[in-house]
Amino acid sequence: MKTYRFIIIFLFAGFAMQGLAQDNISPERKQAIDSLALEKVRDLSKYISLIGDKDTPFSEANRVIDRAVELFMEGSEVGVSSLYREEINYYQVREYLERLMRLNYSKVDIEWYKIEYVSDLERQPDGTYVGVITIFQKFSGYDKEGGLVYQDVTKKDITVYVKRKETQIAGKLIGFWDVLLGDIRVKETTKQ
Amino acid sequence: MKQSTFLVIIIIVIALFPVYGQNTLGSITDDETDLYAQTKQVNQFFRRFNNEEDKFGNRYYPGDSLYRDNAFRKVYLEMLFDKESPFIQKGLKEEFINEVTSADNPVFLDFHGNNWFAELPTSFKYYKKKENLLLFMQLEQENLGYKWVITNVYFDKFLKQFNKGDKEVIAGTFLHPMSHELDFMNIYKVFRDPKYIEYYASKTFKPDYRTLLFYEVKMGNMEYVSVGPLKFHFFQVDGWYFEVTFFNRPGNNSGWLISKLYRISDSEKDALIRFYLP
Amino acid sequence: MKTHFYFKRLIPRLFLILLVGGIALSSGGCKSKKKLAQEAAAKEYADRVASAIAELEAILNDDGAMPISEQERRLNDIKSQNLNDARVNDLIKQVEAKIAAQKEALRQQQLEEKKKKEAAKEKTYGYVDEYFVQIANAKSVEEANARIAEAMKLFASPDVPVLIIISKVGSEVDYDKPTTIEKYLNYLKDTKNYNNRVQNVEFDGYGQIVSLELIKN
Repeated sequence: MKTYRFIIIFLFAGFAMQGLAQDNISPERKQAIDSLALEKVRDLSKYISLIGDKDTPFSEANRVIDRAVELFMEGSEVGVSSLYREEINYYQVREYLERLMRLNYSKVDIEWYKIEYVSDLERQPDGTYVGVITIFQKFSGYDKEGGLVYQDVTKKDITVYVKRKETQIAGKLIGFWDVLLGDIRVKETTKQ
Repeated sequence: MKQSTFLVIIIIVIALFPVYGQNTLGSITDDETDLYAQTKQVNQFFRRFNNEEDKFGNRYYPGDSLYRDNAFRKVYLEMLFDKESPFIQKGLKEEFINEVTSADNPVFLDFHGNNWFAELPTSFKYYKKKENLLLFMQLEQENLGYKWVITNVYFDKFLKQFNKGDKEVIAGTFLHPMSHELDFMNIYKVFRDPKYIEYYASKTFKPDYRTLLFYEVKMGNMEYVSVGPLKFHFFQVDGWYFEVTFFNRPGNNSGWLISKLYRISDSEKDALIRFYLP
Repeated sequence: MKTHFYFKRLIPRLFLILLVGGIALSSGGCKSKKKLAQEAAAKEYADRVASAIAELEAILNDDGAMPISEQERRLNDIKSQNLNDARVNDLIKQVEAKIAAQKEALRQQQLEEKKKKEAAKEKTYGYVDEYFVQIANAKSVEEANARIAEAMKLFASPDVPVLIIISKVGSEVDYDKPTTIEKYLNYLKDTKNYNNRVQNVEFDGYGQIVSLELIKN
């Protein structure tokens, strides 16, 4: 009886292992998914630059906000802290972008550092993969006379959810990776 | 041997200088040396500890020639320590690095390998007063995925309520063995002085602070307010304990770094882990 | 009927027995008979070698009239005889090399043709690519919008699906989330990021595009 039980446990363990093995996506495909996730983050950074740019017409900025929001999972939030105030302030993504659009500077410069750090994709219990991409932004606000009145560098840790989905398009079954951005942690690193 | 180590150091130092290549995010700004050097994610801490990525953060995969290369690890590990920490003795650090990079038995960190815990300071409103609590957390497998779960709560207001009191009083806190003959008419004594209730419980009784926290929150007596600076406790290297904290500062010694390092015995390790995972 | 069958089956057996007996007998037979047989065998072998050499040389000298499959068939025929002659073996090696070279050349040719075909196909879609590049590189929002309006005329509707292949490993094709042409053109305008190329286009009866497949560069 005992040996039977042992064998059964062993079999199940085997199945579990197999499940994990099947879950292994080849490094090539993983890299393609990583690049796709990175592309979404780059898209977001471009949208942010457009929204912040005082030369972007109001209607265009609003349209871009809509597009930016579409990149996110519903209910995603931006948690902001500063060097002198560690406590996190929470904003809904749309709220955060609209605040950015309405900032009271005559000119705004948003620059992105080249560095982009991509974490591993980890599986959550519901099967969705989750990763974090870290980017750095330099924000400069100028007054009417063109004088720099505010500048900071922030580290942005952006949650990325990746899920394998399927859909029918013109009778053809398409397997695609649905990449959605999630919560963003914004941490100030330097201020001038 | 010394020469090759020197060479590796030079390679790394050169690597830490920014590279001007394709501009990926629009306009570039300033010097990025610090940002490259910074251990930007805990994930990167793991990869650097194990040498599972190159100097630009590109992953190495099993089979790549430098994947988990010990010579590189020696150099990276040196950079993974907070250089300003008073809790890290230089000699101890060297011993630690030599041990985890030993040719015969190198030690690598494993994200899914248990024995590492997050310590998250939080503040709650408790009966309208702001209080600080620590939440201890661990990764737990569910189905084919993982999640962070709360393993323990540290709150002095809870702690103060248990296993305290006058020793003489404690010595007399029991229900005598013939109480049953009197229909436990003496049971009221248990609840007469709340300070000593727990001494009437069986010896296996251990206060569960998570239950208390959850109950108080459910009853509306406690309300979450905010989080504080996170840190991690690692017990994955046999005979060692180290703590990892985020250093938000300029320079190339920043990000997630080892802020404390101690040699510990197995019994000390068990005791510490019991604190995080009672 | 039955006996007839029996005999029919018996005959080859008898024949075999007789034959074996014959060999046994002949081995003890006279010398001249044996020599004669040896000479005959030697002559036959020499003939076979000569014809093999002739055939192999013919293959080597062939200037493309003989199809590769025929060359291979003849070669295999000769190889199966196991002639074990130095000259024949040398020629076999040469013919093998020639066939391999011909095959490689054919493969290259087919590859090139396939490439040409694909290039031609891509060229026919080049005008679609061109619009995308122009929108992504537009100097102003107005210019981009004008280009978008022009490009939209190529498509049957603003909701025409756009599929983007992110990786192709073996038979496994991974796509980005499907989008529509209207959204995609605006995406190009906003992000100025066109890092794909047209892989496949489908048209309706009016020559308008009803589905578009792109692939990451």
